Amino acid sequence: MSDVVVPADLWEVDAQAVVVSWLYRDGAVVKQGQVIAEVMIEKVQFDIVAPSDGVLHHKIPANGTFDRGEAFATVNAE
Amino acid sequence: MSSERTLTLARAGREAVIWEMENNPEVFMIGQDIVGTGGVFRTAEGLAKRFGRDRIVESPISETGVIGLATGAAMAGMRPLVEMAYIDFIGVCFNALANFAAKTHYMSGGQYSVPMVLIAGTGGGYSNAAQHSQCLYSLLAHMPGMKIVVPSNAYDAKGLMHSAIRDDNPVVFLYAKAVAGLGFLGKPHPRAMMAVPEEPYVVPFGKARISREGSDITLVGLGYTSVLALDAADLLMQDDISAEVVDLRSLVPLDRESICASVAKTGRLVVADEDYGSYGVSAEVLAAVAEKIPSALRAPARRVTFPDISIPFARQMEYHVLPSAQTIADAARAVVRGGA
Repeated sequence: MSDVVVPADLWEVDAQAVVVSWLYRDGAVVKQGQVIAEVMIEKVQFDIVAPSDGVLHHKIPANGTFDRGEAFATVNAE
Repeated sequence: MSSERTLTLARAGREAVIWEMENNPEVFMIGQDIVGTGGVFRTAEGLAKRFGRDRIVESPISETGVIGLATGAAMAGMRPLVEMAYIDFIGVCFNALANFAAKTHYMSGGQYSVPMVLIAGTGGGYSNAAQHSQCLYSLLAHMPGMKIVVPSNAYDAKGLMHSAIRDDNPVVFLYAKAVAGLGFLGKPHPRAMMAVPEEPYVVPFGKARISREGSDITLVGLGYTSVLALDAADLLMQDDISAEVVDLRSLVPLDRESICASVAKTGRLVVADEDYGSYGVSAEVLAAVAEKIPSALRAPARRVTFPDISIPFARQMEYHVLPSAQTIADAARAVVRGGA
């Protein structure tokens, strides 16, 4: 199982992130490197890619917020 | 479980741009802030890195110069995409666009084509005030020689972008900001996001889409108001009113046949437009009905539009007058109940 996190070098400020949109639904099969979510920190938006192949599980819904370093989804090997 | 990916409208349009740029070396993009920030509305995100600065060209604040450059380049065989973040500034280059770009094909007797696309964001709802929140649909649609499209969802955005880039004369492609799916403008509207095929496809110009079938009243919308009309239709179901929603998608050419076919079926009409009310899209829709099927209307039609005022900055003031699902549903109920 891999955690989906915002890369540390992108998260410079001490603010929460918000999930702008999920490009794949909870339970979808994703491939490593595919853009799976759009995340915004202080008005700057980032594309987040799947860290590995497998089944995506959302931990935070669209429009939900999460803290620096927190995994907001996981990808479980099938 | 399905592996369909859901795209925002902005991403879907960009996907079409990327495919066209990869497959046609004549396609290039020019605009302000497109290299560093990828464009205010992310139209060009990641493209400078991918295609280089010869094809993603950062321009100064010189709209007239850019439209002139694009017109000349298009006449010489290139296919430029002009990224103009806010349609509000079309006034700066209106002569170059309407008199050069749009009329060259005709005035040259067909000897020149001008295959350019003008990409711009329209609309407000996020306190960007009077000079950065306008739609100006009627200003553009009034001028001959340009096609104008306003997708309301991700699927139409990608297909219309492919059509726009492949068209051999000027096309204005407008992103309704409220439905583009950009985080900093607020939560993306779920109706604008949907599964989009990975391979390229075209959506034709001049064809409206019936996004919801109904029998009691026709709601016509464009861009943001097309999505609001669907929300309004849900509200109207609670009053047992079955609304049919027509998403215009294309302003020029305008699908008058689909508008009239729907009104002929339902007999009632509400037009919703985020642009200023008078002298615009809503009037053109009413004119089509009045000219072709005047006796089809069982009650006077209504329009729900932004009023003829400068757009306020204060959020409460802006939202007080911006069309909403509620105001569209209220107008529909009034029409159905026969109120004047």
